[in-house]
This record gives sequence, C-alpha cells and structure tokens, in this order.
Amino acid sequence: MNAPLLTTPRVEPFFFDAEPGTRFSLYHAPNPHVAPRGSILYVHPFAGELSRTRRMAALQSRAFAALGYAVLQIDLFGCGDSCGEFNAGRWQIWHADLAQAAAWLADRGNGPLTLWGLRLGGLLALDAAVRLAACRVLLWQPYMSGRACINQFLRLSEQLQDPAPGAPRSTAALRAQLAVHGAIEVGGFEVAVPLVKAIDACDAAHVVLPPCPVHWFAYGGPAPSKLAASAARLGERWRAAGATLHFHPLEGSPLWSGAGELDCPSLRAATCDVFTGDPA
Amino acid sequence: MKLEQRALRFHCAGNALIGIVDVPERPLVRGMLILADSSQYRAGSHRQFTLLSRLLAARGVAVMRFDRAGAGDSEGQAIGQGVEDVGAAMKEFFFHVPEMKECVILAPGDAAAAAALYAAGDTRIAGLALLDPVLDPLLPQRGGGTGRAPENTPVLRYGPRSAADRLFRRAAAFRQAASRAVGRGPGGEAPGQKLAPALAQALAGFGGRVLLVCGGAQAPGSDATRALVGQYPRSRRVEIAHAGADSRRSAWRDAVAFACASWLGSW
Repeated sequence: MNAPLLTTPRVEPFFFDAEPGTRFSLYHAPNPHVAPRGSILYVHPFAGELSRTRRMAALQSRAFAALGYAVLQIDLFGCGDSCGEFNAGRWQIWHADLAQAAAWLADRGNGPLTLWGLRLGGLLALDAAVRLAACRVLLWQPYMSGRACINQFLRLSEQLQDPAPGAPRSTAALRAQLAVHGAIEVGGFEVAVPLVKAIDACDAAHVVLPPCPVHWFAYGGPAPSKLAASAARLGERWRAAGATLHFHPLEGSPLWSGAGELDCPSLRAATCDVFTGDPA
Repeated sequence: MKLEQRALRFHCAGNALIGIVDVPERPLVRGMLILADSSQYRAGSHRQFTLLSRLLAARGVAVMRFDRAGAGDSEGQAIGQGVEDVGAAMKEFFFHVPEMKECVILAPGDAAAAAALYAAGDTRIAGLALLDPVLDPLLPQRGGGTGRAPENTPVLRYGPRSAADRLFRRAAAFRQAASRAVGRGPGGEAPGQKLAPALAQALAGFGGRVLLVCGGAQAPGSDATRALVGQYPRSRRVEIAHAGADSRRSAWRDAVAFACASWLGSW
C-alpha cells in the first residue's frame, strides 16, 4: 500500500547560507489542526552535550509542534551538521546565526518568538533575547555563568586522568595551558581562546533582558534550596528590567556530562504541562 | 573537489527519517553509508562522522549518514532487529547519487550487527568497515570510541610483536579455524566474543570486504575483531593506538579517516 501523500510535511531539514558557509536546520511545522501559537527557536548546548541531548530536543520539538508552535532547530557554526571546525566557533558568529534563524521564522509569519535554550544554549538565549526581541525565554537546566560551563567542559579532559608527573591536575592548570597554546582539546572538541573568553565573560546576572517572561526548568540535584535561592536572586535582578522569572524546580539530578544518550522525560513532561496551557 | 551537502527527509513505515548526503562534484562509483550506533546520532559524539564525510567527499566518495528510526532527529520507534530503515536510506542514497554503483557501510560499536545483517541481503554492499564492533547484542553495550575504558583494564600493548608471539597467535587462529570447520564453537584460547547465530549466518553469507578498526575504547576481552579476522580472507584489521589517557580524540578521528580512505581505494 502506498503511504499517504503528505501535503504539508511535519518536518523539513535544510541547509541555508550564512556567513561563513552553511548551517543545518530542522523546521517542525505547527500542527495544522490547532490554532497557531507562535514560534520557538531552539538553542543547543555546548560541545558533547549537543550530541547527548539530540534525541530529547527532537522529542520536545515534535511535542511543541503538536501543540501548535512552529519550531526551528539550528546547528550553530562549527557544531552538529553545520560547516566549520569546532575550534573556529565564536560567540559573535553564533549570535549572528540565531539572528538569521529568528528572521527566517519571522518571515514565515509564525507569531511571537520564544527562545528555548538548553545548558549553555540557555545562557546564549538570554544573551540574545534583547537583540532578537524575544517574547518569551524558556531555559532548560541553564548554565547561569559561562565560566562554570567552561570549567565543567575542562573537567572532562583526558589529561586530568594522566598519571604522568607534570600533567595538569586542575581546571586552572588546563586554563593556563589554553592561554599558552591558544587552544585546547577536550574529548575531541578543540576550543580556541577567543570563544572561551567570550563564554567566560557571559553571566546571567549581567545580561540585559527585554521585558518578557522567563521560564526556568532545572533539576535541583543534591541542593535544591541553593538553586532556588540563586533563582530568586536572579529573578530580583531581572525584575528591574521588567522580566518576570517563573522558576520550575524538578526533582532529581541527571548526569549532563559524559557519554551516551540522555533523555529527561520528567523535564519534557513538565514543559509540556506549562506550554499546553497559556504560559505567560 | 567541490562538494554539495543535501539535507534529506525520507520515509520508512510512515516515519520521517532525517539524513545528510555529501555529494562530490564527480562522485566515484563506490560510496559510503554511515550507520550510527545506539550511543550517538548521525553527526557522531564528537562530530567524527560529519568530519569524516567531508574528508571522504573531498576525495570523491559520496557519503550518506542518517538517523535510524527512533534515534536522533528521526521519528518512530527503534526497530528491534529489522533493517528496513537502512534499506530506505540506501534507496534515497542511490537516488541522489546516480553515478554510484556500489556502497560500503561504516558501522561503529553495536551498529555492526545491523550493518552485517543488511549487507547479507543487498548485493550493492561491497564492504563493511566496522569500528570497535560489538557483535553480541546480548552483551552490555558501550559506544564505539565514545566511552572510556574502566580503570582496572590492563593497558593494551600495541606495536611490533616478537616472532614467537606471532607464531603463537597464528597457531591459536589456526586452532580456532579448525574447530569452526568441524562444527564446534571457537575455543577459549583467544579472547573474543561469541557471535549471535543470526549474525554469524549473515556474516558467513557476506562476500564483500571487511575492514576492522579497533583500539578505540574496548576492553581487550570484548575485542570481537580477533574472532572475525581469521574468518575472512578478504578482511583487513587496523589497530589504532588509543591506550593511555593522553590520547587525543582528534588524532583517533584522523587515523580512522585515513584507514577508511585508504581501504576504500584498495580494490
């Protein structure tokens, strides 16, 4: 039997030209049987976490599309299927990629834009929210300081397992090595000094937010009260700019760094619960 | 050589599968299909498949990689033992590269089983490149080249072996081959895994070439390639030194790319 002819494909992968080279994108069309609810731009995490969380992001994108959102997933320069070496990635290029992707979504008239970022993608989304005139920001287990993200990345270094005398023993030693060599490789991902500097300099406490709601979903891990306190502090800061924080704590502590696939069904379920209604 | 990248969406049992094909300007008649294992998606855990595709495409080899049903960006549920999605990908691949006449499959870790099962039923598959294969689906699985060997693993010794050592290995391999010929399972002298019966049958029916790349992150006891290498007169085994903690993933990546590229042009 022939498969039914799909007049409007549910998902459309494509490459588009950007500066430099090309970027891979995946567009999830909104469910045509429900009222359109706006567009969502997904900002993926850093280095190995992108590959680990790919499945989770795909499942959530499809769930959003079923709810009536138009979702665009983009591989930033030097990541995933996009062109470029990872060590050529730069914070400014990533910002430009997101701007181009947001413009593409706006051209299709999909309505107000939600930026959805995972881990370092969350911080990048916060950093880009003003420029992209986002109407909502959704954060999944975000890094609130770029420095913490780089430190976590360096902790995965194979060099720290090296028993030889003189091998680096700490992230500080690895940072020194990075400063000397201009680049460092961890788990097959080589990062260069300019990108590390830019990420280090980015901190959620100092980003300028547009007056929009921010939904923050995070696992409390071993110290949920500490996370809630830091969320409250950031909420206070952002309120001055007119942004309102909605903090959604979850129970558990999934292991974000490591090998193999990672899916957090409870995170997806909690997000769908909020977005099925009418989120602020 | 210039290359064109195309993003593909094709269907298998009503599910949309997502793939990428790198098409060189003047493709050779032999292409490569990359099958990701269960621990990573089509780009590879550290983008190794994205980079390998570009490297091979620049040399004229058309390369396709895709997410199997229920993995990565593709829809649907994972198919247990079936390889219908591989068939759908092959159809799409040959449609996009009409100059191509045959194809090899590159499969890391636990994807080796699916690759062998598919290759047995498709005459267009001229070869299999298996990276750190895990050939028994019943064993606990670790991604090829993605995990780190546990601390208690003795470090593998690479490099030249003594003549006596070589002789001993030859004898062991001969004993294994002999015991297979008379219908008993392989003896316990050499480290190796038992092959699942269906897979052993699939491999036995495969007449193409086999490249075995090992030395990623496998414990020596789970190195299945030794059990295989004696079985195929047309196989080549490449060891890539990846022992020790100071090894760089990118060096491993480049060595695998080089091994695949030279093997692809060797017949």
